[in-house]
Amino acid sequence: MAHDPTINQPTNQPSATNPGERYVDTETYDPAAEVDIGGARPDLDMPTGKLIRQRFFKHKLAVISAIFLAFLYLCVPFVELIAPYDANTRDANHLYAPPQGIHLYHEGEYIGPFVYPTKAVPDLEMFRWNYEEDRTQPQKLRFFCSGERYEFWGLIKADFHLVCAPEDGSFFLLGTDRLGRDVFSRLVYGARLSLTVGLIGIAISLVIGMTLGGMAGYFGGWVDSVVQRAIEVIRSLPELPIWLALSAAVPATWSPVAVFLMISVILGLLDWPGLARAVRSKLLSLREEDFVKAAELVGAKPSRIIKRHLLPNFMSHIVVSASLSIPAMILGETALSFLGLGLRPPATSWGVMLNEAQNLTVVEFYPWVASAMVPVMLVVLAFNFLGDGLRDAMDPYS
Amino acid sequence: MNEVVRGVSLSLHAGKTLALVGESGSGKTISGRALMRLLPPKARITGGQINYCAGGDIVEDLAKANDRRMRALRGCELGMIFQEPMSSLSPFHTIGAQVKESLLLHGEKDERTARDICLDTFEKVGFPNPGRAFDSYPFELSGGMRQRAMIAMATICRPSVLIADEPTTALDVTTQALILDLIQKRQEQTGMAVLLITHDLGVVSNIADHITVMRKGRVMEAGNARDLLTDPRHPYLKRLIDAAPDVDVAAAHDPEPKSDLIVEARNISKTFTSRGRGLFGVGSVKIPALRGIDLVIPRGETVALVGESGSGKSTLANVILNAVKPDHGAILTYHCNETDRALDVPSLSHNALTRFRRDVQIVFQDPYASLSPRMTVQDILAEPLIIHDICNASERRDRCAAMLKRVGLDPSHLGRFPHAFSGGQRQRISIARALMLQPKLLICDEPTSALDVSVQAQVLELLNELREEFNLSYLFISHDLAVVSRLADEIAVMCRGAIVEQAPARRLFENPAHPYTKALMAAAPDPHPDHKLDLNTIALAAGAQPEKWPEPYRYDRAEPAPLREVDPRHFVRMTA
Repeated sequence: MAHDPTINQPTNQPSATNPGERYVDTETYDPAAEVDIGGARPDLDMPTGKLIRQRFFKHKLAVISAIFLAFLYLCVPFVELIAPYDANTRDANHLYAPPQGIHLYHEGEYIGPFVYPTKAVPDLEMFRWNYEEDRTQPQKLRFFCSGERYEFWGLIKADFHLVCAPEDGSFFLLGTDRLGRDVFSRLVYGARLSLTVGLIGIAISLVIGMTLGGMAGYFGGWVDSVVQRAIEVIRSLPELPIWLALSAAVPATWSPVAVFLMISVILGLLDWPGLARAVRSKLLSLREEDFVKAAELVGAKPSRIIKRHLLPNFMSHIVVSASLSIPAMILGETALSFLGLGLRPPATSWGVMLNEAQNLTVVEFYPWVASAMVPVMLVVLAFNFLGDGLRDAMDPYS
Repeated sequence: MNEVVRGVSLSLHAGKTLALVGESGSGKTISGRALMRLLPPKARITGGQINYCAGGDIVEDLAKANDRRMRALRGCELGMIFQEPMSSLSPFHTIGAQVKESLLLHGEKDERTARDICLDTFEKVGFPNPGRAFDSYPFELSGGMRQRAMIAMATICRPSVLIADEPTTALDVTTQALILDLIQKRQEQTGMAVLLITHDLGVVSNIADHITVMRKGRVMEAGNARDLLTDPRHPYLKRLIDAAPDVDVAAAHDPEPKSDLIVEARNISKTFTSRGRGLFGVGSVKIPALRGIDLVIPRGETVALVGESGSGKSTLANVILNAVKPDHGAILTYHCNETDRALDVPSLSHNALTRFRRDVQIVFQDPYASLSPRMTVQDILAEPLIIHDICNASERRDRCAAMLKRVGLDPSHLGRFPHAFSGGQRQRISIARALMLQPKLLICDEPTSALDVSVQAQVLELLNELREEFNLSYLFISHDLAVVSRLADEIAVMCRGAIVEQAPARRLFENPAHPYTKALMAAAPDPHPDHKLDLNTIALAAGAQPEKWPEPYRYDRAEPAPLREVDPRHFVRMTA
């Protein structure tokens, strides 16, 4: 019914009032065009990978999230270099010190990034430390410098840092906590555990979920029934108490690394049912597709059918499920550590840091101690956006 | 911006039926929906008017009407029926509640009166028991009955315009005939104008007064139905009429009996067990899908299986393909060539099965589901060769290119993915894949029923050529007797898991004996305006219910009547 009177109007319109009147289109007609030979959708005529990339790059939020997460994960191996202090270095002169601002101009003169030294003054009325900036003495920050000594990856002794505190001064970008530890350095070290706990957890969850879900979907019958019932039982357990019980069972004498691995395993063990269900249902629906049947009728073995026909078609599904499960793991670790049942000091994670921010006084007087909230939220949001973008992009033919 | 429809004019008159005919992508559905202003969110009406005259001299331009006005008109003055009756009814509400709703939305206040009007309409659309239909849910009804409910819903407010978008495409042919008849009856009762959107000229010739033919968003030809169908002037319409499948009795095959059989199936039965609702599958139910089928496929010939949905024809194909094991007592043998020992298909050894898979291939119905979206055409075609370890990579490439060329596609498209092709092209790729192993028997499971008629004719022609060239035998499955009439040597008509009539093609068309066969033949719409549907013949066998067939063909479903040879090689299932 839609026609624009100005463009493309045929010269002899079919009559609008008398339907019986004969109308024959006069535009040239090429019968050869009816023969069904040429490509119909040249826009889809390129490798799947390229199509996926094109679609993904259209999702701006997902691209930004991907860049953000890539940056964070690139930082993870080099935290010792990035953090100006060690995660557990204490400065008894600066307890609950507020963030020190970075300045560029001192009395109108440009002298490069520097900080003013601060001095603790006891406030006997409120019973807390107040910090006063000494505005007369700018202390320049040092870059690519030698600072505190550390063992890089526990192997190489080094003292190189990207940025260090001034000589005889302090540099607390995000303030210090109850014990005078630099919050920024702890955030950087905490990223290492908080970000990797999700990866290890998801790896475990993927292995269990794909194996059990795959078996249930491919073999069906009693295997399917058993796996399904197991999933239902695990799903019916209240999540938080189980986490608590399992992590409380981790012996207190274990090393921080062992505890960390154990927590990842616990998170992974409780996360797989969702993934197993996704894999199972996807396999069930794919198995019914004609192209799988065609391959079976050509004589393809089950291994070939799984590898060549099923996997490529549900890999996208797995990638999306995984990227949406990682934030749940990160939040799980944070929650457990916040409650004091996850990672234990001296291990540092964002959850452990938040454990310090449990009482109201701290949050009210020293809000910077709770700054681990920010990276947790950003990372979880970024993973969700990334998963969204991947889900839209991974199926370029829909 | 992409213009999908341009400069289309239609006019609908009260009591008349206008058919909007076109193949997929012609813009016919978009045009119909534009009338209702039910366009997809991305579509916009860029120009023109939709003048609606409710009676008297008041003319209203619906293209400019606001949403509130459109809501008042839809379902009241403008009714619509869709193609898929299952998805257009809500599964959570009874039919009665849904039909009544449109009455209550459009002014009827009293629930009781509304119910009475519903029951009255249900009776008019042919529900045998309106009260029961009122309280049943959509899943309790068959496709035809659901479509009747849709018609009741669309016409209950006595609309002045009914838009029917492919109302019978999802239905079996015998049901289709009855639904078309019903639409005409409702039109007589209410005096409404009907806009019938369809791809099927046979349907059009039966009920349309006027026809508008569309192609790629433009009107090709318009005018009186009889004029257009008997004297098409535009070459496109001529093509469409030529491509419409019809039964040419004289051209149908009547081959000599052959003793060289490629497949011999005797007493094939198959019973499926549906999973029970109890824990771990207790309480299962047995459903018979095939009963005592005897079928032989002579080497080099085409045997057609014809039947409506649920007749068991695809199950039989799966049994012959050894994808499904028949019940105990079946004899199914495959003869690789005339002199070799016959192979018992259900108990093939591993090596023999590999050999069997090379020899017996299938082409599926749905061109979109039968090719893996993640594999290139090259990968798809090379797959059978790789599995059977035939020739090296460069030879494989050459063979794939040659085969693609043979089925009528450009060999330079080997690197493309299936989604870059149209339905007909994808079906050609499917055929090419099936032929890569140089099979001896090709099973075609409704290979053309998802395609447009003109493409359908091209694919059938290709299959016909390939049979000669590759020395193939075909088992051709279809719901449409006209489609198989050009290819088939022998036709078996199936109904409810049993063959009801079987004969060489020409004899079957010349002298159909069984009422079900007669109904199928009568129900296949013919584009010629003088060949109207014979509803009495169709009604005798519609619904595929053997209990309701006339004597001596009637039988109880649990115990089918025997097949009798009424003429030489012409078998009919009957009691006496």
